[in-house]
Amino acid sequence: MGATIAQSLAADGWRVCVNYGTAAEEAAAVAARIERRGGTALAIGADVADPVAVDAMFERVEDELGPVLVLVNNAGVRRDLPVGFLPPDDWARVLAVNLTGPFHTIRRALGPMIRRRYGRIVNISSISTGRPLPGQSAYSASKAGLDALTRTVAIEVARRGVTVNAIAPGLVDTGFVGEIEEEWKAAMPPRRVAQPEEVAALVRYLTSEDAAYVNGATVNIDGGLTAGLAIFSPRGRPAPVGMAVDSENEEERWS
Amino acid sequence: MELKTPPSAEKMGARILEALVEFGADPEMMSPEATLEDLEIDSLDMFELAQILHQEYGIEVNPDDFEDVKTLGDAQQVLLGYLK
Repeated sequence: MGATIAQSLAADGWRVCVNYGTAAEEAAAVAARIERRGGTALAIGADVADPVAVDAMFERVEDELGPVLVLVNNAGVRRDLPVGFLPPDDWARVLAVNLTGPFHTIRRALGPMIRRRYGRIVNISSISTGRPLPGQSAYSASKAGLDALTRTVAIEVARRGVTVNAIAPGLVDTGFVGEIEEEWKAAMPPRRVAQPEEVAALVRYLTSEDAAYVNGATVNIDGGLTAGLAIFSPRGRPAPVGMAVDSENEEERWS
Repeated sequence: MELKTPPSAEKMGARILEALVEFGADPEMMSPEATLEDLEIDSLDMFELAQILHQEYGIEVNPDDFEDVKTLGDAQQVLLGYLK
């Protein structure tokens, strides 16, 4: 999804830094694709959980691309296990990347944005904050924290022309949630999952001049999944809309 | 603390006042006894002032130093103290 967002913003004329944690080749390929299309892009490796690495990344971006006026916090990791099995180090890593990482990048980006009276920050959250699945304690908690960070910073810096919003996607066809099974698609009100381009389009809007008065919002992009009643089986999968949950046959249905 | 171009106390004092006016403080109310609250200067303004001092003079402002700051005079004393 990060690749699609980067390409979309580049198409809008932004000079883009593609940050990566470990996927150096993929990030370089995204940057090369942007350059081939006439844009300007730089792939930089930096662990967002490390404030020194984040500062070094921003220094390089400011030197080579100019001031950072748009920041999209898309880096995310998951460690899905029942909380009783979840190693504390895994919990800490998810929080470090998904929540503390955006804290570091926002903290570094805000000063120059405030001085220029313009900034757009978009944090990629998740619908799992309000509708978690079993096993996602760390992920859901990190994203709920990210929503709170979003709202807090939004009201702190609003009068300097900086907006801070979050996007909460449902299932997106990115590979992040693994192979999306047909039964998952059947549970979505539109009977399909989102395409990365649809999320990128929302990022483009929230980073535009037109979105100057949208601030502190978490915008769901889930096809309406969280608008209605979600029925979850004991194994954590949502029942298709309109299908009654028969507890006696539950194990068989979802096996 | 790394100073890019060490300014004189007068120059930095003037830059601080200039910034506060930019943030909306009434120039006619500026006096060492004026409280930051009276001048309608809040923590976001102080954050931006810290950005300016860092950008222009390389000064690293420590927010803990402002714990007891109430007046413009207090603030200037703390900030000018970074030059020593």
